[in-house]
Amino acid sequence: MSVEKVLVVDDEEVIRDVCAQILANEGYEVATASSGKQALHMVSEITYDAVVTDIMMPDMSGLELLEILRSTNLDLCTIVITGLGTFDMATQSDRLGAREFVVKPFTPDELSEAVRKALGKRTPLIG
Amino acid sequence: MVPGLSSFDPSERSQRRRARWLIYIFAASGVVINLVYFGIELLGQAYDNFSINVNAHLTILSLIIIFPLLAIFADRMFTGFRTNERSRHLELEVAARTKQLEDLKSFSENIMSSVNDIIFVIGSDGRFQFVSGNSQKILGREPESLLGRQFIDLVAPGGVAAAVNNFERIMWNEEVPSYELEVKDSHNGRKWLEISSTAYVENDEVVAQVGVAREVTARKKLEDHVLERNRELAALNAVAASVGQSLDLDQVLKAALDQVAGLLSPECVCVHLYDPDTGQLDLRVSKGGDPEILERNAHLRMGEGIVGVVAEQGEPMVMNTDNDYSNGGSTGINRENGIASVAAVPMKCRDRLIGVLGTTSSEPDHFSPEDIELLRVISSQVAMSVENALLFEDLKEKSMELEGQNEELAQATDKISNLITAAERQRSFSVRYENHKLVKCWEVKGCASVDCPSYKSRNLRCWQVAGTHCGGEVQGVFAQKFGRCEKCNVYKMARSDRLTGLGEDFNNMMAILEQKAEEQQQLQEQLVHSTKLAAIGELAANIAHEINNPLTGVLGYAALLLRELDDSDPMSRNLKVIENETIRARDIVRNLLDFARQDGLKKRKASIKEVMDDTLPLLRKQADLINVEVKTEYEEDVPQVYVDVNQMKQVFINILNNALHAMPDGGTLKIAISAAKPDGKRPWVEIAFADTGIGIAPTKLGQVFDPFYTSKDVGEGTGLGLSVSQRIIEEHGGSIGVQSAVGAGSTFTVKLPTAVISADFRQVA
Repeated sequence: MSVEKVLVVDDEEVIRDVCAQILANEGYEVATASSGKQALHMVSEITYDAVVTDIMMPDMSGLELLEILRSTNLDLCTIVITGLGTFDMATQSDRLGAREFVVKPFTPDELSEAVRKALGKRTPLIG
Repeated sequence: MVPGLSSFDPSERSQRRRARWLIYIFAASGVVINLVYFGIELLGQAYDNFSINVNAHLTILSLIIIFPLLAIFADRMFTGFRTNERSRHLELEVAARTKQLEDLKSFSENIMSSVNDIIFVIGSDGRFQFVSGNSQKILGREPESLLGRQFIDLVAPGGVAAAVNNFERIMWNEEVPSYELEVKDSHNGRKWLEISSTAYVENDEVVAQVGVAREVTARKKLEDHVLERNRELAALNAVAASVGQSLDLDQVLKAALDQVAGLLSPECVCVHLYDPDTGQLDLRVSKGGDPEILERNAHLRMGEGIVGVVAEQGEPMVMNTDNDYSNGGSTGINRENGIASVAAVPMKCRDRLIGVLGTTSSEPDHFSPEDIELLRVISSQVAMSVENALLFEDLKEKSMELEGQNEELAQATDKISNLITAAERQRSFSVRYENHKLVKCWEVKGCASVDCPSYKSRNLRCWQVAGTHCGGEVQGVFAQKFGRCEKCNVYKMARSDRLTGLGEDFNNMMAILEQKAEEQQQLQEQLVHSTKLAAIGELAANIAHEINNPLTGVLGYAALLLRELDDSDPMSRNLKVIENETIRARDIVRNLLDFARQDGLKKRKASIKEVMDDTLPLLRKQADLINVEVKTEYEEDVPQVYVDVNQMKQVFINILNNALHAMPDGGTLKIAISAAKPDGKRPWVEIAFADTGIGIAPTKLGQVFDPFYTSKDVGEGTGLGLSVSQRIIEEHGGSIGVQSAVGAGSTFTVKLPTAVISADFRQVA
């Protein structure tokens, strides 16, 4: 079984780094992007299994990113990490195809569990 | 036509004129004949030598002389004839004149008898010399019977002096205007004559007086009547003036008595006034009369005595002792008392009996109908004045009473005004009006101290403390209106006096103001408090959101480091602390965000039972841990509600968490869901969470929904759970309340409107 690739998108480097370390510890292959645009660029080049994205980012918000990602036929599972843990935000994310919703700050376990669950829900591409 | 003394017959004068003319013609014709003859002679002479026949001339000349003589003679003759004629004529005239005189006499006699007056002549000796026939008609005396009699004999007593005086003045040839004289007629009756007489003068000497007497009895009577009426009117005016002048009752009555006494000259006049309270007639004033009788009649009942009868019947009454009057005894009317006649008239004003005016006389038939009429008029005048006087007395009394009240009121107003000033100065509503007049409850009831908790306490009034049972009587509603005494009978009685009431109203007002001021102060404090908290909350939420990112880093790195270390590593313990504290910070921030959240609700129709059943498992484990038994009591057929299910779950979790927290040593948590269908209102669903925990102190009860209020230890709660819950419930149009008793537990009750608003289950759009 190949290593699953996870792209972490956040405008804050600390968050990107923490997430990368947590997910790397879990055995994922982690890449990071500091903005939505960069993330879109990256997913167009390499196939990722999951995208973990912040919502409140300059230029392009996480919700916009989700919307664009959903419009592509990429089989990506998306996980939202946000400091704005409102119900409204959660439902919006859900509507845009986010599989999980993690409210900052989170423990490593919470994040890895969310990513694991999200990837588990993914319909297998093959077979 | 009145026959007159006419002149001679006119036919005689023309006869004489004719005779004279005859003579003149005769004489003239003689002259003419002579001249003619002389002319012829002259002509003949001329022709016949002018010889003149002397004889013929002589004849002619004689004729010329004779004819005038003849004429004179004839005239003389005629004149003689005429004298004879005159004497005969005179005789005739005398006869005619005599007849004329006779006619004149009978004519004047006729005149004398046909005029209504008596024409008389009185000689200087005062005796009648002539009296016209009318004396029979007017005085019933024949003129003949009067002739030679002294005129004084006819004058009625009282008029003699005037008559003599007038007689003498005329005899002195003075002008005396006509005067009236009362005379006696043949039947000893009286007649009034108007007499005008003048002196009859002969040779510059007054020998008699001629006069005309005209009967004026009727006119005189009328005049007398008018005079009498005038006198009465003057008297009435005097009564009105004198009784109307004063408003003093006794003065009014005394003036009336004086007037009546002056007008009717009775023995006794008295006034009884009617007292509507006793129904009696009380003697108020009297003038003259036997004191003993008056004393006996001082107080009379209606119908008692003539005064009572008059009062009862409302009509004047005259009584003479000749008449039999059964009640005469009580009125003292009998001959023994010297009372011969009594008159009494009611005094009425606007049909209301004021009293009775009574008067007595020792003369029988003393009071004429005119007198009664007079009395009646006087009494109505007096009645009005009495009424006025009574009203005035009443007014005086009232005005004095009012003056006293005014003074009291002024004092009270001053006192209250001072108190208000004091309240203003002290900025406090604690001032009270010292109501000395307020009779204390125990004073009214005569309570002993054991029965009354506020007995003899100056500041405590029993009705304000224990108004329920005072002297065994229910006085007010205890506890319902603590300190208010509107329902206390004794209090109501005590403050029935207006001034006392005023003082008590002021006190009540002050009490209310004091209470309101306190409430306002509390509200103010609360408002400041909650505004401050809300601002802090919002600020904190904003900050918290920004804190999340750094916290993520702290939490993440700490956890990652922890994983790399063995549990035995001393660093591990420190990192664990960092991790836990970060999680605590996270919880605080989350609650803050919940509190400051401004999201819209995602409402849908849902069964509250299902929402509850979905929520309970989340806490089941925690409940089991602290040995809390969770019981549910769901009523059947609870209508659906229109809610944001997730938010509702959050509310339930918050409440359940608090309940569990209140029972650290175990207990029972009972959750009941029921439906309420009040009349005319939208039905609601009630969710009650009853725990058997430690309870909430009454002083803290009002604060449990305040943001940041918490009973938990530091680190165990954020104090936002219930305030968030309350806001969510209110956003659903519902309410949340709490009842609690320390040591027994608390019950939180959530009420939510149902999705259907009426019995026909119309869906909410």
